[in-house]
Amino acid sequence: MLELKNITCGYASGFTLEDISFRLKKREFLGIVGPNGSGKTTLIKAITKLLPAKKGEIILDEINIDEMRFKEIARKIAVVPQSFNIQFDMSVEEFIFIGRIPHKNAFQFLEEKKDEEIVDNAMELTETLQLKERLLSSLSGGEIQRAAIARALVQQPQILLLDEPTSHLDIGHQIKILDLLRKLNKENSLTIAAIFHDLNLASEYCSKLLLLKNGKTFSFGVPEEVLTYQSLEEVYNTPVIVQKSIISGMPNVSVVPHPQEYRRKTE
Amino acid sequence: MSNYQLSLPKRFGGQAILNLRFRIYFIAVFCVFAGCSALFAQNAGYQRIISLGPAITRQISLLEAEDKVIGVTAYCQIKDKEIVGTITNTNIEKTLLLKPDMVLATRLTNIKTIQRLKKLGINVAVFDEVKSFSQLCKDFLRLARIVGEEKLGNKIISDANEKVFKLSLKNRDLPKKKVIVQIGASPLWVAAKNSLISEFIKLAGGINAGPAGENGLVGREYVVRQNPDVIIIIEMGMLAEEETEKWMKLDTINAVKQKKIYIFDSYDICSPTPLSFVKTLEELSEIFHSETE
Amino acid sequence: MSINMKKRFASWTIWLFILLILVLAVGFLSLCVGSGGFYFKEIISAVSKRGSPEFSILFDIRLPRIILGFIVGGALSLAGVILQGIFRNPLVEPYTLGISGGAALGVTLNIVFGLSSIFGVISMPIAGFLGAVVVIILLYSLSINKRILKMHELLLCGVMISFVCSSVLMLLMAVSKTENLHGIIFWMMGSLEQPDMNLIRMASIVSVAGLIASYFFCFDLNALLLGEEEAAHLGVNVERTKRALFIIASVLTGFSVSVAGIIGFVGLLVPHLARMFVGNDYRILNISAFLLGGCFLVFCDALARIVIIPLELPVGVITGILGGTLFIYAVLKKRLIFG
Repeated sequence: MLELKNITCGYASGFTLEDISFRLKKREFLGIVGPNGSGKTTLIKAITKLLPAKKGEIILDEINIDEMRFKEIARKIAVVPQSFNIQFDMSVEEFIFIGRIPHKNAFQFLEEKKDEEIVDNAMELTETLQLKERLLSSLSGGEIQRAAIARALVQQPQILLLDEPTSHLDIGHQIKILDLLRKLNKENSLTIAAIFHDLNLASEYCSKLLLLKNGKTFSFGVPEEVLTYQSLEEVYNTPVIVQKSIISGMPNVSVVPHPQEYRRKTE
Repeated sequence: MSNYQLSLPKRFGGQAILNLRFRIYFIAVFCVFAGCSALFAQNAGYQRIISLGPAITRQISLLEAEDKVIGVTAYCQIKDKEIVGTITNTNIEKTLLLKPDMVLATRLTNIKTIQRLKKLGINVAVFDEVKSFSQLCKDFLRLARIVGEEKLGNKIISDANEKVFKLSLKNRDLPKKKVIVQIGASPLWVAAKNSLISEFIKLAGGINAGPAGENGLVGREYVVRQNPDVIIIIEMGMLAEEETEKWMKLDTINAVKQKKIYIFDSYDICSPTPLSFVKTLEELSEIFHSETE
Repeated sequence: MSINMKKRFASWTIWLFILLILVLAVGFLSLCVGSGGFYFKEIISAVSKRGSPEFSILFDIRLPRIILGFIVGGALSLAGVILQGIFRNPLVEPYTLGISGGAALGVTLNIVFGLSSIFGVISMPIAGFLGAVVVIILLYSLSINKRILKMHELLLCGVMISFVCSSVLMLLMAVSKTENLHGIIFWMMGSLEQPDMNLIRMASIVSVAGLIASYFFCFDLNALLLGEEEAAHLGVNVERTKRALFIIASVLTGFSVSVAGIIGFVGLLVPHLARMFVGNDYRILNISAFLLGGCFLVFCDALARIVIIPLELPVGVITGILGGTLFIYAVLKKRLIFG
């Protein structure tokens, strides 16, 4: 469904993603992990054509995205950013309706019944119906995240990209959001690619992981293949312990605090 | 009686022709007389005049044509007339309601006001800032024609010219004093060489020590360096007393040493009529050529 | 749930209706008011007396002022709403970018060099517009980098250019002749008095054209509410939108300033007022700001003409005081800033 072939792209400041290649199949739940500055957000920008690729190509549904207009891409891919910087307060409903813009016909000025139904549907799925009239400024972190996902859903995308969907949330809300994503992935056939900071959450929820280091692919595969202590120690430059989770059997990463002390003890 | 019938084919001669000749002569003389009268009679001028400048109003008073004025500014010194605004801000609606046939504007009147009045079909005559005595006379005559007092205007002008001439003759051989005229404080502004005030000084027998050109924005050191013999301060809503004291502190200046610092009324110097011009000249002449106190 | 949509559409229609009534009311009120002094009853009789001074006052003096007031008020407010949308900053208004400074400089140079005597009275608004255009081009070229318009830099450049223009203006005022000074200050104080009907017609065309043009971008502006990246993710061609809207707003401002001088605060206050009443959806916001701006300016002009009758205050004084007070009130109401 989405294939990146040898993508190289970057910023004027010098940071570049180099030679990234992977394939994202339908109904896959991809987790993008890696240290700060390894290029995770840059990757998302490359996929949505926000950042033009210097080398390589990205194929979406068998079409090169270079040949697609922004609007066409917006109908297939929706992005949930890490946070919003909104200067003018609005209601949740208004906020979500903005997501319908890619589907507006040339001469359509007002929303149609179809638009309303899609918005209602999305709000039901994300349990945000009760927040309809509330102002964005009055929402909690978890509520904003759910509203943001709803806004992305009304774009009726085939692929949902999320930039650190759980970083600002407490553990309860983290699970809630990820369960929602999982439901969307399994029941609504939504292909998802999300950036994770928390390796364990990525391990539990993702069907595939992409580990980046310094703008290059370090490894790509199922969590068991990617989350090995050798890989992680090399990428994150800190000792870790990887065990199998008692509950799910997926790899569980534990950090080693103040590792120098342990090293001295074992010497 | 066929005597009184004009028959063209007949040749001149005979009684009928005598009547014709008489008639022709009468008509001819009448035409010449009428023409001469037209030439030498003065027109009645405009009858409903609005003045937008105190200087103009003053000159109209001098021309004894106050009864033709129906509107003035709040600053004009004339009694019992409708006020249509200030020097810079004119109430167009009020002006229109007064139904004037002539509006006299100055350089300070809002251009848009003049445009608007002209567009509404009202005559507007603009009087520029007076820069010399000859211009003062020319403008005065123009005004005299507008108010229909050309004869009086001419008389006043020739009187003034005569007096000015006599004065300049009198002062010709007297030593010329250096003069600085202060017309603004904070910032200090003196009369430059290209100004009406400069002409006053010249005609009164002095030398304007101000800068060349029209811009008089100089510093006090300039004045100290010029070292004038006389300093004149124009009372223009500013504290002339304070300025005098400031000058008194700079005791290297001749004018300060000889205590020749004078305060003049702004009205006479900045909005002169030919009459007041002469009066001011005489006063200045006194100051320049009297002995030190 | 379609009731919600119908409700929204209905409320927009009602609001537009209210605005149109407001336009008529304010226009009529303004027609009744003036230093000539007559009021409602006398208007009816005045209308019939063609050729009388009363008729002339109504139709040759007051009516053009009112028309110009709606045009300029609308243009400035629309420019304000557009700029606040592309800059994503509630404090941006048409004058923040230094466009008015450029226009003021153009007019001052025109007065100082006496170009009116060579080219006629039309040279004043043309000089103003040219000054505005120079600033616009300068701003644009300074902030565009590889076809990307950097809004942050644009804003900073605008503010700096504004300061530089003020200083140069003061320099020119310090060395110019007294009679020129009056002309400069008059112009800068802003006035809806414009005897040239052609200019008023031109300004009307530009203003309405700007309004129509802005409607091609109302969805883009809605998307921009979420952020530049987010708007791009919604399929908006963000760079093209920013460029086009910047030019539209600048032209609207340039024209308004050259025809009416500097009338401040309208472009800052009215967008916020409009937002308070109709929300953030640019489909209703554009026209609301336009009409509300016109009403506001015409109202201020009416006030300016009666406060110290028979003298007139410059309309910029009233918009400043009234606008400033209302703005503080709007801020306190807190609907403005997120968070």
